[in-house]
Amino acid sequence: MRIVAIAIALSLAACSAVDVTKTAKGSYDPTDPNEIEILKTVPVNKEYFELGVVTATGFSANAVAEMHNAVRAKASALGANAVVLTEEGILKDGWARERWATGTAIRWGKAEY
Amino acid sequence: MTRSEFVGFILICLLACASCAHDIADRYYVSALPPRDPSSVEVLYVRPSRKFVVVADFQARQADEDFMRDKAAEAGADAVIVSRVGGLRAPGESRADQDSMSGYRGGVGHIVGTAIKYKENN
Repeated sequence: MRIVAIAIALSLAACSAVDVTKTAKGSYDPTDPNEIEILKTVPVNKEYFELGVVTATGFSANAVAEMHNAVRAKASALGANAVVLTEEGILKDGWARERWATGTAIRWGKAEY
Repeated sequence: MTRSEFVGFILICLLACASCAHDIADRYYVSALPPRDPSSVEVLYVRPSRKFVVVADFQARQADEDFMRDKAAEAGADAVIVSRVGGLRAPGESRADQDSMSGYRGGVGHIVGTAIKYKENN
């Protein structure tokens, strides 16, 4: 029983997650996650507005593309067209290495409400 | 109370709290609307085609559509547009459009709701 409990705790501790907190006013229909762009710089020649804050945690240190797809999957429900990843890094805890990233989900055009 | 009764009581409290909404954040843009019966408030998952005004925005963890409907009813809204955002990523999922843990009601994701009032003369 103790071994089962430890196994469950370890598996939960290793779960990848993308936390999304909405900051925009109003609601926008979900977008196709395949079409969401991952950007590292803020667009300068295209009008956009912010939808929310996105934070990805618990990914393997070398799972960059996988983490980006997780961000796409989770930000699509907000109606995002892109996510600008403003910070990214690797957490070291003994032998463990975990990749994390944080950024802003954005939508092209003007806010409508 | 015996020791086992006390442990049982604590476990029941923890289980009850596991379903408690938290990280609740509300924003109100229109005030002075009379509250209404929650059963009269529509729950939507996309923007309706009718013209509307945004009355309020709600956000919470470990909550559900009924929670959002109740808040929208208190705010006097006609409907609430609901969406589940964020959450756990299942191991092995490689496609961007693959999200088997979408809608999981644990504490990781948020449920968001936008309370709306339909404009008259649509």
